[in-house]
Amino acid sequence: MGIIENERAQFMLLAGFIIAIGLVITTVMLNNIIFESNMAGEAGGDPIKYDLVNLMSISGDEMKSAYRNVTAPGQNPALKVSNFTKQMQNFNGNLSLIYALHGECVNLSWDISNWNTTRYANFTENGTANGARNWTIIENVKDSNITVNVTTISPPFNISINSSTKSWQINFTAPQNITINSAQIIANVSVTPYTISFMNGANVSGRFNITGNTSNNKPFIRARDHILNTTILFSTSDTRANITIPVSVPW
Amino acid sequence: MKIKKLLENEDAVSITIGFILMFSITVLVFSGIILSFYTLSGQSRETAMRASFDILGSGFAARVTSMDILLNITGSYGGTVNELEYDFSIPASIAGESYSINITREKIFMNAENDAKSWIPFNSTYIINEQIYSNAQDYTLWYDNNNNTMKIKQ
Repeated sequence: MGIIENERAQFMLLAGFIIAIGLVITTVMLNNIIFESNMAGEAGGDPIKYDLVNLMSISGDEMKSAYRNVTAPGQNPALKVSNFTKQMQNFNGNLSLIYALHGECVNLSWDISNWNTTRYANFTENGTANGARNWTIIENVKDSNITVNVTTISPPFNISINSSTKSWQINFTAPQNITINSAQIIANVSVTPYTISFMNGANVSGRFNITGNTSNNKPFIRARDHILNTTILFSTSDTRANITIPVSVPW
Repeated sequence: MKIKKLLENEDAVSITIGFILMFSITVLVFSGIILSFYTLSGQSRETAMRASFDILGSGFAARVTSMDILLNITGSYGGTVNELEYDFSIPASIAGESYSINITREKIFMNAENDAKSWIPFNSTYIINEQIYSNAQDYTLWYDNNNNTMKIKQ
């Protein structure tokens, strides 16, 4: 009765203080928890690996394409390097522009010294001396023509053609230029499809060109003259990369 | 009548003692409420820290894995990584606590001063063995191509 009829409002003031302090405590606590969670969440970041992998891939493809264009039949051999450079410069300019729109800085440079000095690639998987020495070029081949020009060799090196029933080893002991047609292969391995592999490819360098069709009638070309190098400079606000990759040309 | 008289009897009533009693009770109730809030706050803080560590650790694991994948892909091309660097920042404190991050090839382990811990498992092909602290917020994850390892610098 006393509290209800009390006109001095002491308890109302007290209740007001209690509620106000309670609200302040609750607000500060919740705010801290939410703020800290957001801070941690911000620290994640978006990986740019796909951009870099894509750059490696398209740069290699463009180099192959430029090499094929300038060495195609009917092209002036005297202009091959200048035309190659022109195509690559054009590609580099467009690439920089496209990536700049994404906030990424890209610059390509290329090294064609192996081409200029006629230094041929090794017969390894990636064409360098320390690449995989025993590797399969293509499987499930129905017909193919193989041209191999070996310029330097430290035996053993052989091309291995294997069908489900037979294996044919073509051994190389000295620099030589050989062409093997589809009929010769069928005569030695009896049945199709077959697999073509290089064995001990690190011991030898030169050129090869293999064309044909797979067992599902899909045409293929596997060829290599040189290994050129391209260097990709990539930078964003928080990432810097400088990567050099070897590119097998023409394919 | 006697009961009514007793109720209306104000002979032994002291305003001072009444005030002290009311004040004491109010203080006790307040203290109880605030203490219970602090306990709740403590529990929430540890939960929030673990959640934050998970987010932070996952983001960091994604960066290390990203670098790992890039190095492996470049290796599969027969290429060379001359430079690869990622800048990253970590919050100076999480829920008001500073903390440390220990990175090995198998896991990222985060440990705060109030013993809130969290670890993120991952697997890196390249050697990485680093410990960083939240007092320096800006770091760079980089690839050392001379030693074939991943490192962190400020």
